[in-house]
Amino acid sequence: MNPVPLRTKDERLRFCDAYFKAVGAPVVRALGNDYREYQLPREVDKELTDRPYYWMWVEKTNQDVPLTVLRCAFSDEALEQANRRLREAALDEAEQRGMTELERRFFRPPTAELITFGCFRLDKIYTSLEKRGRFACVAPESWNGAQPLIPWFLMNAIVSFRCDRVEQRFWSIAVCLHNGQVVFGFYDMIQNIRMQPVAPSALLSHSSAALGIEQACATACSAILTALERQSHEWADTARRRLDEEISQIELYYRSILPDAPDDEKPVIEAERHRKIRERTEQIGPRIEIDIRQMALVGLTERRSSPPSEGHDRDSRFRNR
Amino acid sequence: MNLSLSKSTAPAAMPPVVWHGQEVQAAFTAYLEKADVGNQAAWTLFGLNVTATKARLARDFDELLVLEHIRGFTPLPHQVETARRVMQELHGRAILADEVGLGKTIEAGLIMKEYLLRGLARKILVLVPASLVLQWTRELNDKFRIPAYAQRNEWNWTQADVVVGSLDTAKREPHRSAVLEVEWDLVVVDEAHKLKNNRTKNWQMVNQIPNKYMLLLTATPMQNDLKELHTLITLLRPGHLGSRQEFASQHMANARQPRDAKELKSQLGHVMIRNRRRDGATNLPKRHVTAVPLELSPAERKLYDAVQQFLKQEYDERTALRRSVLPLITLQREICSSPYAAMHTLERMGKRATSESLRQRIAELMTLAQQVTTYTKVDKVLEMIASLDDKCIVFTEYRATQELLLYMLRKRGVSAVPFRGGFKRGKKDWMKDLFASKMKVLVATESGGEGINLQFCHHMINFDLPWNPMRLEQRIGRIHRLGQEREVHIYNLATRDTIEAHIVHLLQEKIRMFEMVIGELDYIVDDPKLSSKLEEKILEWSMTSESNGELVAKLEQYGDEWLQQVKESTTR
Repeated sequence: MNPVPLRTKDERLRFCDAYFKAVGAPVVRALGNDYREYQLPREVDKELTDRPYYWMWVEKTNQDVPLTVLRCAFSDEALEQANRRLREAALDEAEQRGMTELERRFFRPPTAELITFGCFRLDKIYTSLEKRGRFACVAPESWNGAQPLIPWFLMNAIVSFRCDRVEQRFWSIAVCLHNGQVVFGFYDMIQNIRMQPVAPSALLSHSSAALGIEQACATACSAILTALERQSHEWADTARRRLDEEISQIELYYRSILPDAPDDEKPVIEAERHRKIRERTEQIGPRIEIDIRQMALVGLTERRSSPPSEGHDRDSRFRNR
Repeated sequence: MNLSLSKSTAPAAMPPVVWHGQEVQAAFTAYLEKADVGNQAAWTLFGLNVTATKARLARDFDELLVLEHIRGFTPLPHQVETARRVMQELHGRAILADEVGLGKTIEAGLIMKEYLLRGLARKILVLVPASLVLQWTRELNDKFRIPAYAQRNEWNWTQADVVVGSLDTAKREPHRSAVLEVEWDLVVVDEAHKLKNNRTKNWQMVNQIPNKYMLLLTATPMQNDLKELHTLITLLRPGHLGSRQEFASQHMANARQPRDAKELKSQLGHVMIRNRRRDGATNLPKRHVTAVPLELSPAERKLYDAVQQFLKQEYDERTALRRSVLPLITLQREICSSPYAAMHTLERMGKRATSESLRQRIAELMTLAQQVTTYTKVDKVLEMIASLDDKCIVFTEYRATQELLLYMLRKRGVSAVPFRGGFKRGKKDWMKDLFASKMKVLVATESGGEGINLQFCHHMINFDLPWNPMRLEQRIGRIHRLGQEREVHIYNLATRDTIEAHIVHLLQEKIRMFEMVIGELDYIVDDPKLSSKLEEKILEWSMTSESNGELVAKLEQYGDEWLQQVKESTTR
């Protein structure tokens, strides 16, 4: 299995650097490999810091506020160093301005934040990416505008196998708009090709495209279903059996208390029984949830029209040719 | 569960498929129509989004994602194992019945966070005693980065995703309707032994709350009757141990004895997990317990003896007339604490006195009390605190003694804050924070019972002792608990030739509970029949014994019986 992303500080740093560069937030200070200060454009600031009222105030009163600088430490040591430096700098500045005794007592220097897996800021960045990184329309950088492009419709989805527990897969499926060919694990195959954005017309206007987006999407969805049907669903069987057992226990319990209940309470108890059975079914009842996350149009030059099969695509066994 | 992607030979029916995000296609079409040449960084952002998505996947049914999400502490192996078992084997409906201080909160936090991360839970309800609402909220936020919200008004139940509130509030209107309207994904109930009777409002309320996953936390899942277990389990999995009648006939020999302990235990394993200290769940740093013997000053001795004489006389009269001896127990215990504490009770008794002679006798005792000018115990405490280069908790049972101590400490320039059970929860937290950050001494009248953790403190002085081992253990448990990294020192003040000296001996030497595991005490001492009688017994023995020797023998015997019970419960 591929290593899981974002579990090391270096990865997180590269991830943040790439994100902030992509959204136009310049690095205003970089110290070694584990400290960065990014200056946030207003729109990015709104996405990453949770302060809607502040922005409402800024906009309603037409304030000219300075841009926020996000101070990100990627290791404990970097955090400590940064906080020390920030404190000294802020104290120096305050002393030069002159501080009253009271101000000194309540002096609060600015601080940096530690970027760890699962921290608030990364969660905010994920949410921002869900919006900003949802769609794309690209062709290789090497494309000169003259070669013919083969358009591929790409769809990324999370497939969740769910009962009272859950297991998830990231599936990337592409459909060739020329001939309807379906390829699984597509993103991993092309992720190392450098891409440039292109106008959708460059990919769609060709009369050679046999499929429209809508058809391609339908093809991808049915390919997913076909692939799922071929899998083992043991887990679902196990869950179903457990659900049956739980329901029969619930029935047994309510059968045992109903006869002794006063008549006017019986409907209430019946309703309770129904509710409990419904809740167990919602909790344990097996289902597969498919969450479509991203779509893109990717033009590949002729040479690439059948995607490279080398590489690290663990879902390649699904390739459906 | 092994989720093999290979073709299966005997295909099980495919479960229903649910699609989400089908609107994405329309949005994509609109994007293509609008976009000329898109954002230069579009492909980078697309790729970063893939990375972010993959980073958060629950790749495996079994792996615990939560372990990568906690910071600042490392959960103990038994806690991780418990969380894993609750989700994988007990399917998220369980009684967490660890002994006191083994970290049920941590286990519940791990499970909550895991369900949140996996998208299996969004709406979570945590019901805890009112005094613990803020502490739970804080811990969930700090330790687990769960955005938990302390419930304040009736709208919070629906507004916030993770709500911490008290059962007492939740069961009252208008809260009740609000809580019952929400389809909760996970419901956590702390101190769940309050749900052991299915005729109570508490039980009925919890039984009504919609839920998918449910955790019940209690150190004492069963106190008096095996049926209590059945009642708790009915909340989680009705019918799991059969109907009530079937449970009684299949599993119970009598109210307290299972028919087949092994069989019951294995059945319980499907709904309950109990970690115990003696199973090696945890090793706390050592606990040093020292008795500090003291000699009463002549004035104090005179008062003490006079009170004893008064008590004996009153005891005989009251038992002859079958009147309550409760005030006498109080007075006996107070006189061991401080004359100050005793004066309140004496005054009250004086006002209620029916005869002039009684009033006269009490007035004499009051005069004797007023003649005490130096307090041996207080002086000793001041001396001990002065020689300590560390924070210290002083426990007393009485408000009057507490005030005296605070006054004397402040007079000496020692920083000290009070702590009382009657404080509102905000004030409790405030006092705790003050003690943690600025003060040297905390003078407390109660352990806060199910409350406050003070692991940053390593010294405790018991100014007087509760006559109940469980209460003493609760006091000590404030500092000697999970998270304590240093050895702790407990000092028990014991004035010579008073009943207090015997109590210290009984609790500290005879029962030696300090070296024993508290889990066993959970069962025994929490037995209300045993503990409520104890105070009365001690008074009876001290009042009716002809000699000191006889009293000591009776206390010894009591200790032996006690130990016998412990042995029985551990082999049970």
